[in-house]
Amino acid sequence: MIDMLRIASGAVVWAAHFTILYGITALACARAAAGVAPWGIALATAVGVAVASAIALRAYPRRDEFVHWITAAVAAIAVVAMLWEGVAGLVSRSCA
Amino acid sequence: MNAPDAALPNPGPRPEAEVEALRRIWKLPSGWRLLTEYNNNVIGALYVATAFVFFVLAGVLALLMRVQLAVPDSGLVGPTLYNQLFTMHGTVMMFLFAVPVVEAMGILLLPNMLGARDMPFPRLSAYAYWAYAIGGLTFFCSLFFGLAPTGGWFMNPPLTTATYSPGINEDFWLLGIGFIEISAIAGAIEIIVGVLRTRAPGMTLARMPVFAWAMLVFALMVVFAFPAVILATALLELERAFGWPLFTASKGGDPLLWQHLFWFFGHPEVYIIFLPASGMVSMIVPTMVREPLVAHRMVVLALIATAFLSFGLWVHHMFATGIPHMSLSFFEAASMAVAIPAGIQVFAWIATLARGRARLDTPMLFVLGFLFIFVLGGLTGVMVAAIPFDLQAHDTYFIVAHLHYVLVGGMVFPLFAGLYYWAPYVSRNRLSERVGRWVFALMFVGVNVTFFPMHVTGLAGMPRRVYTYGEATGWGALNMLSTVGAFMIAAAVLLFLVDFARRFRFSAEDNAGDVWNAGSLEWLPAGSYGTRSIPRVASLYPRWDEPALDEEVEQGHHYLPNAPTGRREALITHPLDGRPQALLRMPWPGWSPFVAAVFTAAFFMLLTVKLTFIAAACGIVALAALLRWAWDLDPEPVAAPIPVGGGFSVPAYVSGATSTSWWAMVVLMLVAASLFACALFSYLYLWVVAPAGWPARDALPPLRHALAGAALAVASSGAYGFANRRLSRGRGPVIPMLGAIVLLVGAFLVQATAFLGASPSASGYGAIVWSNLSVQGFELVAAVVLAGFAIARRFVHRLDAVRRNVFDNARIFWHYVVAQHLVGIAMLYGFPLAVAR
Repeated sequence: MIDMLRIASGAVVWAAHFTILYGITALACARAAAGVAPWGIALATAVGVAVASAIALRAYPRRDEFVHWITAAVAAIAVVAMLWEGVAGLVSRSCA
Repeated sequence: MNAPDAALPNPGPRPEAEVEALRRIWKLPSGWRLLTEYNNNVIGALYVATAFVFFVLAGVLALLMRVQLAVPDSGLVGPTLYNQLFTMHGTVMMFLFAVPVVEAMGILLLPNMLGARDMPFPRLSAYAYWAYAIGGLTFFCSLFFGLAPTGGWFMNPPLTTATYSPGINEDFWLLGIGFIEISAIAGAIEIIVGVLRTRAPGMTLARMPVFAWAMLVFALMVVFAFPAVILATALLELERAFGWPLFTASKGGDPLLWQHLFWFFGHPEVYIIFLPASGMVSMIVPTMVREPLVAHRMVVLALIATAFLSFGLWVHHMFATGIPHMSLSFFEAASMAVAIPAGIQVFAWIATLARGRARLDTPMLFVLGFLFIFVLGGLTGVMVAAIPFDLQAHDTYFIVAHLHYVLVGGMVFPLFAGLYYWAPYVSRNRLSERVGRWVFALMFVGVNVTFFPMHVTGLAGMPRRVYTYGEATGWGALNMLSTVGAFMIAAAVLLFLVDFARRFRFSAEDNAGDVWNAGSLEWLPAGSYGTRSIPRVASLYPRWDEPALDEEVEQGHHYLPNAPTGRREALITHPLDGRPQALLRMPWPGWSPFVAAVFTAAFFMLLTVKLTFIAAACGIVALAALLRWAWDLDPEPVAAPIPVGGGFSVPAYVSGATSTSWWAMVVLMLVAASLFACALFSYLYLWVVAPAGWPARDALPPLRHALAGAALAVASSGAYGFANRRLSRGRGPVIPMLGAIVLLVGAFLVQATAFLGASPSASGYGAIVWSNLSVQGFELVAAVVLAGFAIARRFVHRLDAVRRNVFDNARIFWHYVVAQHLVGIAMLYGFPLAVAR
């Protein structure tokens, strides 16, 4: 059971990151505090990328084994997705 | 014939009597008693067939709509019926055809593909199937009484609130669909535990077929996505029936909350449908090319990546609702990113095709058609993921074209490929190749003729869901073309049905067998008991890599060539490396799942037509049947380990984390957690949108309630833990369990009474607080029923220090409910305190 959860750990980090992005921007715009959001997005993305990278790097040295390979690969994809979505969130600063 | 390999799990000759015993034990009951059977071949085939019936029914509704739209200003179907038609078409296709049919293919194929005799909870599949079949058909019949829902398949309020949609039409949708989702979740739990725990020995995760990966990912997505729609339907029903203003903006609710919850389910739903279909393609293509799938690992990774990215897309259905652009931006990014894993799969299939010479049999034709149509749908998908374009195309026929290209291309074509491919697996004859080519040609041309013009009608401005249009619009010719195409699709389906009626003859025992020369295990010679012995798996394509495998398995040289406990059995293996861990004794066929399903369906349907008392009676019968069914669970322990071959001796009774029931309970807790998370989201969402409804500091409920509630809940967990220690030492657990029940019920009452001042019908705040409390209360009742059931078993000596699965499952759920209660207290008391003015 724990091993199964480990495979999904990168995806869990991604999910947390996405939820935080959504929460921050929705709240910032609802409370007329749009200026706060980019800082929150940047911070969440930095932390998320760091954690998922750590997961990928920890699993990677034993990549020959399928379970480790898939753990590292899911975490790596999560890193790419968080960067991609985080950058998109930083580009647009309008609450309109 | 060569002498059997001495390294085989059971190298010596096996007595013929073992096969006789397997046949006898797994024999299907005849006549009416077939309703009691749960064998995956029977339920799987019925399930696929029933889903196909819904496909045809919803298709007929589509034809009616196409006839109406063929010419401008047509008066054939009035607006009221038209609204019912498009609502039912979408709803039936999505909820009663697409999701059930892929789940059905999983139940039909997975056990044999994994080398299992059956799924770990076969009666759960039977229950899910019968509830779905009976509930679904009743739901469909609402159309004949003019009672069918009219709000569109996504049922957006405020249109669907009692103010704008009085009558019971929308209630049919809310109660009917909400309950059919429960049956989808039951199937998903079965599939997750089945894929992880009943694979053949040696089938590590790396050697697991792509279809099994796809079904595992599918089932996990169901677990996280479906609770959102179940909560949404429950909340809307609460608003309709009791006036809780959750979606009424003037009272502190918000209609957009519905869209968030619905699409948090609804977008993953698209991939829930697509991933199993892509899994089928990944099985068919290698067989047809006779080459292993290129980049197997990347395809598995793509399945997982699609699954999680798809949960970050829901807002792209809401680009036009006025959400701040800053929030839209990363949903837009995610919507585009999800094309990448889909692209990985497409390239893997193309590369596999390029590796060899594909035989162009009907399944392959449908795969090629799938690639063409699905890629087109994917491309328009990237277009509508771009917000500026979406704002133009939103709610036009361009969207109708896009979604049909994706769903028909991505799901219906692979399904037909699968039906042609796997028909010889459950039928004496394969389906006709000659007719199959006609079916394909008609369908391929028909789909493009129907849906391609819709891109243009959409760009020309034709909105969705209008029952007619004026001559002056100039949309007539394109609409006529679409109607012609729709009838070509209908002709294809009709032809398929004729061929099916002529040639399909159900049989698990003497099926047509492996006509394709495939590499996967479902083509091993088998009967209703599965394979004679359970194969030892050493590669991804065992039947290609070990040509003698069929014969070895048939002669019983692999694992478990017999039925050592004299009952139906399944071999439980380790989720990662697939080593044998236990022997699962299966139940005999019985009436309780069927009876429970009939009365569950009756309960929900009668509730819709407001026959409350009869509905309640049906609910009680359903509950009684469920408890009767559960009574036989957790059978008498068997002390001696049972040799299954290859030097493995496994226990026939296990408890704790090795037990499949423990796994199922963990998955159920994920479902519960997802439901609760959606309830918390709704609470926070309404606070973001309408904070004025939240109490000021001096109006907050007294903190002593929160502290007392938390203390009682923790004490109840402690009491259950104490019961656990006593049981493990051979003493009676009943007194501390009763204590735990009293403490937890007390904790809940203390918490709930603090909110008596917040009337649920007065404001969005009150409504969402009481909705959260209702979710907690519902799970509290479930925990108490489980614990009470364990207590009852103690009194009849079915619960002791060894035989304890019922107790343990209730225990982990108990601790979960307590944890949820604490989170609930933090949210309902702590949060308003933190943000109070």
